[in-house]
Amino acid sequence: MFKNRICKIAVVDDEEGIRLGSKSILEAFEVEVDEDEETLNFQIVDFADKNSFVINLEKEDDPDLVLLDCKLPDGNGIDILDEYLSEKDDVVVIIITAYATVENAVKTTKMGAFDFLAKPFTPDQLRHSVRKAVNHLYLKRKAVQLEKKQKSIRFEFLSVLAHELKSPINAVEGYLDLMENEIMGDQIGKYSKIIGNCTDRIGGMRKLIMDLLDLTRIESGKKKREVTRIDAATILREAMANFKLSAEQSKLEIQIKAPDKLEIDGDEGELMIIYNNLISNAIKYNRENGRVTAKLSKIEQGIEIEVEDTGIGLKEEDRKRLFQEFTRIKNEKTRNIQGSGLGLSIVRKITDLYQGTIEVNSKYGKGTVFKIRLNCSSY
Amino acid sequence: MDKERKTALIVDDDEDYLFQMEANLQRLDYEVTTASSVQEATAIMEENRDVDLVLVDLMMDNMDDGFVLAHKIRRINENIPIIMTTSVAKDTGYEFDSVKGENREWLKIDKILNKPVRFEQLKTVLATLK
Repeated sequence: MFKNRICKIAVVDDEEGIRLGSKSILEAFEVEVDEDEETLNFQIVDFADKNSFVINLEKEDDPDLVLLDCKLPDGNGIDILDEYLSEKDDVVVIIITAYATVENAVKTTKMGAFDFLAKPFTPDQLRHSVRKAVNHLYLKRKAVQLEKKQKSIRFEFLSVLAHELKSPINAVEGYLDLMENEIMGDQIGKYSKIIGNCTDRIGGMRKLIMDLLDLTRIESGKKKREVTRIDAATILREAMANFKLSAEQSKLEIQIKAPDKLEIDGDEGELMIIYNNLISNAIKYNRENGRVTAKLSKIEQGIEIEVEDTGIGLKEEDRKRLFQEFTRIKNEKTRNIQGSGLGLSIVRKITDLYQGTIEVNSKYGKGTVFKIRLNCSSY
Repeated sequence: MDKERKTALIVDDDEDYLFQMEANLQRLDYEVTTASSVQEATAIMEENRDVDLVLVDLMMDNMDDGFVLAHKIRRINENIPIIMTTSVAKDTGYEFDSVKGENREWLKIDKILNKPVRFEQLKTVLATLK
């Protein structure tokens, strides 16, 4: 935020006493600026007139802070402020003057001066004013930095998203081109695999868009939470039932271990999203003739959901990246598995809404267990 | 060596795309082999150096797999026509279109095509390569 943790101050005043005094006070001064409690020191450069200051301003790096006298032998501090400094967002100006009038104060503040120091001032007044200015500058720079970082995260998210949306469109477009050119003859029956593939890719794209909407609603806080008394066990059985067909297609056995009824205070939609994502992952990343087991139990602070698969498992290095947006673990075993890459990051955000925890245990080649604990009243 | 049909190798990690290009090239009378990774493709090339055409996707498991593979193929067979396909030409930072022919010293690729590649386009490009 400050180069080498040094704040560069330019003192512009024709009175030698002010220049030397400020210099000795500020060079011995330290300010703690941020949460790390690191200290900031000061380096002072001083100028006796307008001309030498302006020349230096054009030649060297801008100072962080300027202590600017109103009345200089070859010009007026207010003019310097107006002409050279008011456009510089990253420089803070403190006006010093023996002619402290309200009119001057208003005028210079309008031009962007941060503070106003009346001559003669005590060392404490100077230190107080400089500390205030430095903190102001620190917060301002921090805000700019944060904004830049957010912009770059947003850009990265959007470019990955654009890529993820483009690839199903490309696939469908390619298939349509095959049909248009009757590459496989003029019998519609020859194209049934192609049509099936198109439907799959479009379905995947719809899932991505739905996931994206869920994610942004949760993140922006716009998704209304409806916390009511719900039966987590019945909802689990409903969720499992929805995957019955795809489990059968993958020749998977599905098991539910849950009490007949387990009432909690929670949002039904949120719980359903957690179940759906965990179960669909357990099916997608499984092996033929494997098994998916979903368990639900009451624990002290609420409920515990556990979904176990007998699938391909995770490597240790992949496990760490699992909850990042658009992370899809790419290797020879997962290449042909489709997904939005947003499922688990949504699950994590919902779990956070319940101040819950997620535990992932996995053995590469053997299977994975997701264990989610939600804090809620359970009955 | 006389061969009845020309052979092509398509390398891409997108199953849909492999299916489409395979169908297109078969229609253009090629015998087609597919591979979905650099390793797989290199193994195929080492076994059969006389492939008549290679289509390589730029981004597979890694950002630059297509370049890596193209280099490997060049080392195995200097003269084989290589077509690179990509859906991210604009994002790579390489100025594909301005680096043409002899000037493309860093890697001799015969043609870069943006995905999705259409049948008519493929047909035209292959005609100019002959």
